Order: sequence, then C-alpha cells, then structure tokens
Amino acid sequence: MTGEIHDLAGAYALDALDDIERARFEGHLKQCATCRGDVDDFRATAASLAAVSARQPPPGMRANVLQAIKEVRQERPSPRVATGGSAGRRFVSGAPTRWLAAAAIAIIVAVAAIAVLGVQFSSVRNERNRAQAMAQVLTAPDAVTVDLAGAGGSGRMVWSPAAERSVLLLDGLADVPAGHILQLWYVVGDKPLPAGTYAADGHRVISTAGTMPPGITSIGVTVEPTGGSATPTLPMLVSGSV
Amino acid sequence: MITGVRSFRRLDVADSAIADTDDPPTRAAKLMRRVTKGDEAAFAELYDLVSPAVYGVTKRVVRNSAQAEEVAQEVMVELWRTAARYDPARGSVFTWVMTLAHRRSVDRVRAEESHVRRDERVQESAPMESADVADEVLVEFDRARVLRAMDQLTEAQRQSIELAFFGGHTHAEISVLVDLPLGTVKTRIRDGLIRLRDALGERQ
Repeated sequence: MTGEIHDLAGAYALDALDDIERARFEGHLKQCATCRGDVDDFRATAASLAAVSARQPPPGMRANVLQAIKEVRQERPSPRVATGGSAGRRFVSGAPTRWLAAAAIAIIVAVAAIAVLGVQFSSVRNERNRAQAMAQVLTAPDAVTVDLAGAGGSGRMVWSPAAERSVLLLDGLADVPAGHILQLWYVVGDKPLPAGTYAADGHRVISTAGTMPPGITSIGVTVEPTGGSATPTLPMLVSGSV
Repeated sequence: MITGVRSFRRLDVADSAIADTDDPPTRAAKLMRRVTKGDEAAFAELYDLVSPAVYGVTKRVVRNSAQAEEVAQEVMVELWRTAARYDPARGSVFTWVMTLAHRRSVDRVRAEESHVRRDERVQESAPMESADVADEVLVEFDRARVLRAMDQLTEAQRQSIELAFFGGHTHAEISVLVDLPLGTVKTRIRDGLIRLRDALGERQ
C-alpha cells in the first residue's frame, strides 16, 4: 500500500489523478518528504513540456487581465514555516500550518466535487459537514480503496476504519428508472447486507457511507425499488472485491 | 510574525531594480516578489513573460480557443490573487505558473466534457506545435532542448506522458486508452518523468 502511493507522485504532478486519488495523495504528501521532493521535481519537468507549446495569447487578453486584477483582492501571506539550514527547499514534516493547509485542500476538493456533481443539500451546514466527513475519510492514513467495476458503470469506495466511515463514488451510471434507487451492499462471505440507498445525480453518486462490517469480502451496487430491498436484485451494476 | 518580518526584509533586498542582463527566470523571480506586495506594474511585466506559456498550455489541453483564453485569464488572475502562496523554495516562478495553468485546464476539461468528447479530443491530439513567440518570453528550456529530452523517452513513456499532460486524462483513463494495466501506466509516467528530468539536467 505504501509503495503504491509513492508511485503516484508522477501522475499527481501531471494532474492525472482523479479527485479522490488526488485528495488521498495530498494527505500522504504532508507526511512524506520524499514524495514532496519528487512532486517538486516532476512539476518542474512538466513545466518544461509546457514551454514547448508556448504561443502568443489573443491580443485582448492582456487588457482584460490587467483590468480584472483591479477588482481582485490578493490573499494575505501566511507565515512561512521555518525550515532549518539547507533543508530550506522542503517543508518541515508535520508543521501545523501545512497540516491545516492539506486538510483544507482536501475539504475544498470534497466541496468542489459536490459542487461539480451538483448534489443538492438542504443547508450549507449539511454540505459542510458532509464535505468534512469526506475529507476525513479521504485523508485518513489508514484509508483503503476498493475499485468497483461492472457493466453498469464504474466507481470507487474509500474506507477508513479509524474514521468508521466510507466515501462512495460512482460514475457512468445508466438512468435509474422512475420509482427506483441505487442500493449499496456489503457482502460478508456470500451474504449480501444492505448498506444504504442512494439517489443518482445525473449519472453519478458521491456520498458518505457507513463503516464496513468485519469479514467483508466484496461490495456491490444494484438498482432496487424506492425504499430498498432486503436482498439484491441481480445483476450488480458494479462490484469489487475487498 | 517573526518569519514575516524576516521575509519582508529579504523582499526589500530582492527588489533591487531589474537589470537588462537578467535572464527571464531571474526577472520573473524579482517581479513575483513585487507582485506579492500588490504591484500592478510588476504584474503587467510578469504577464508579458509568462502569458505565452500559460496560453500555450491551456490551448493545448482545452483545445477550444475561446475556452482556452478564458482559462488562461482565470490562471493569470489566480496568479495575482494567490501570489503570496508562491514559495521560491519549492520551485521557480515558471513552474508555479505552469502548475496553476495545467491544473486549471484539466479541471475545465473534466468538468465540462463528457467521456465521449474527450475520447474524440484525444484522437485529434496534435503533435508538438511549433512555438511562435518572442525570445523574451519565459521558458526555462529552449524548445530544441526539450524536444531532444523527449527523444530520450521510449515511445510508450512518451505516449503516457502526453496523454496525461496534454490530453488531461487520468492514469486510469490512460490505462483504458492504451489497454494496459494501471500499474504499468503509473510506472511509465514515473519512469518517463525521471528520464525527462535527467535529460533536462534538473537538480537531483
């Protein structure tokens, strides 16, 4: 697991991770000086690629930008974390401001994902709580990822035993027929346990889910009549082994 | 607060006038320090240095000219707004700006385009376009040198990096596009970047 996450530094520097992987890797970055160094180096390398594509922007853009900044207040600097001696190139591992920054990024990513996916919430407070719960799972050091695949779409489940919560992401779903919802199943041995129902927003779902039961072997999602079922109506849209 | 005072003093020293002999990266670094303090004239100069590279990357990733211009403008305004976040210890101004530009471009592509459209977009993915910009713009490596470095990559590494960087694809999508396991794609991206970095003579 640890080796696997180090391998993501290249894809992260090229912005080639999806939102969930990105948030998880950013959680890892705050603890791993090696990866921070790799990311800095890879970003510099990627920037050189961009240089090859340089071209003059449209002529009106300069005036637009210079006009626009007159209306934009600059962020205040945050006190820079002191970095001892020649290690100035890197952050001090675990410095509080960086922890906060990484957590904030994770929450922003979660909020952005919610905004992009257009999930409706009854209140801002709800939304914030939901985003924080997701961020907590996504950045948990013990987070486990289960990829979900099948004829009905694709998805991913990220589960943190410590946070006792999961985040469920589904994408590429077909239209759910009227009077039906999506239902999540935790399979223990060969026994599917109902694990909550979800309304798809467009063709996606992003939501928190409960903790996984001990002995869980796989996860699946089915289409069920509104209200949910006691046993899954097969086939599974997507499923994955834990 | 103490660190704030210290960096303020360092800024004053670094604000010494920009010399004609300064190369673009040095000028960008000096300008950026002034921009951090709200200097609009410095920002205009910085715009002239970095905007061709910014627009180049947004155009390459987003492709649609109008959208690419919109994203490039957002990037430049973000550069102004978040200037204080730039940390010289973590890389050059150019790298910082390109990181913003690429991230914004990819966000735009992923938010707006369906999978189908993106697949079409990658089909029409163009080879490296010729640069048509003045010498004075900020590029830290000249085009020929970057192209030579890219020649050091295996075809497979080059393809994976181009699909990720210019195609705006996730590594999971690339694994579908090239029909290879995710682990293989990850390795190709990482090894390709290491080889590229070494060929460009980056630090470490």
